[in-house]
Amino acid sequence: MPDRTSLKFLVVDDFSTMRRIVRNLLKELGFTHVEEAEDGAVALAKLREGSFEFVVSDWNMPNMDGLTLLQNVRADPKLKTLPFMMITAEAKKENIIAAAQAGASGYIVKPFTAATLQEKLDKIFEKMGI
Amino acid sequence: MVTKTKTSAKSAGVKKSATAKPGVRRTAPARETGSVLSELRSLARELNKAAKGLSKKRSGNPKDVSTILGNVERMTAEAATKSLIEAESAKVIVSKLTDSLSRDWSRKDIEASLKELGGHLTNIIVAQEFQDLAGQSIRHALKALVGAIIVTEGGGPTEEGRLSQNEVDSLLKDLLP
Repeated sequence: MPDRTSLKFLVVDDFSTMRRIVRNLLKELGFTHVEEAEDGAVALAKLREGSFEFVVSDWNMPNMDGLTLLQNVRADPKLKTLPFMMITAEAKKENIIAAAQAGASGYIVKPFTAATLQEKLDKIFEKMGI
Repeated sequence: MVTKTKTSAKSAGVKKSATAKPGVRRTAPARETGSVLSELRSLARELNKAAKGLSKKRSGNPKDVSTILGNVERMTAEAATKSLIEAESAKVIVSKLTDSLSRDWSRKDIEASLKELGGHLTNIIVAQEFQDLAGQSIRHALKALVGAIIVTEGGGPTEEGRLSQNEVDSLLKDLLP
């Protein structure tokens, strides 16, 4: 069984503070391989270049938003199976439905706690069988 | 002890562009509480200037309000970054202290580390004072935009239709495979 903590994360958010918070929480949970991207366009380029195994993304971002990034990931044969968690302040029913239809693996609404992040990650890992 | 400084808004002046990306600047960890206080005072002065920018003759100009709110956003992001840097530095000390317990350790070293740790925690507390000034500026901006509306406590319009995490979870239960 692969080691969860060796997974390589990409944290996507236009606010550096938020990226830093998520990175810190992931570190607290034992995930030390974390990289960052400031919007969906940068993230997609990084995902196509690198060997990321998990994406944590905001919704509202310039250039390319999180939903479009998710749709692009699911449309890319090499990336389509990547676990993709949304962490966003967008919390209306239509947002959740759109994210689910686009293939989100999990959805966390801001503000959130470390416990919520851990719970949602665990659920995704369970589905992945790791 | 942290003292609250509420300053009234009177004259104009916004120092930096509202288009600046918030919180991008990375500063080195501030080691001295004094230097953090000094930086925060400088940020507070900028915020006060921003609030003063909403003088009566300019109030209601969406461009001015936008500039002021942009500055508030940038400066609050900087305060948050400062807090995070302090917390990260504190965590490094805790980790080193924990490691030292299983090796040779001295009371003097532990006392010094605890003092340093206390300094970082104080800096985090001090950084939160910023919220007070940011809140005041935002209220000024809101008043300028919508006239003489009194900003009251409680959820704003953005709360409408928002689901809680539990509601999101139960909705996703049906939607996700």
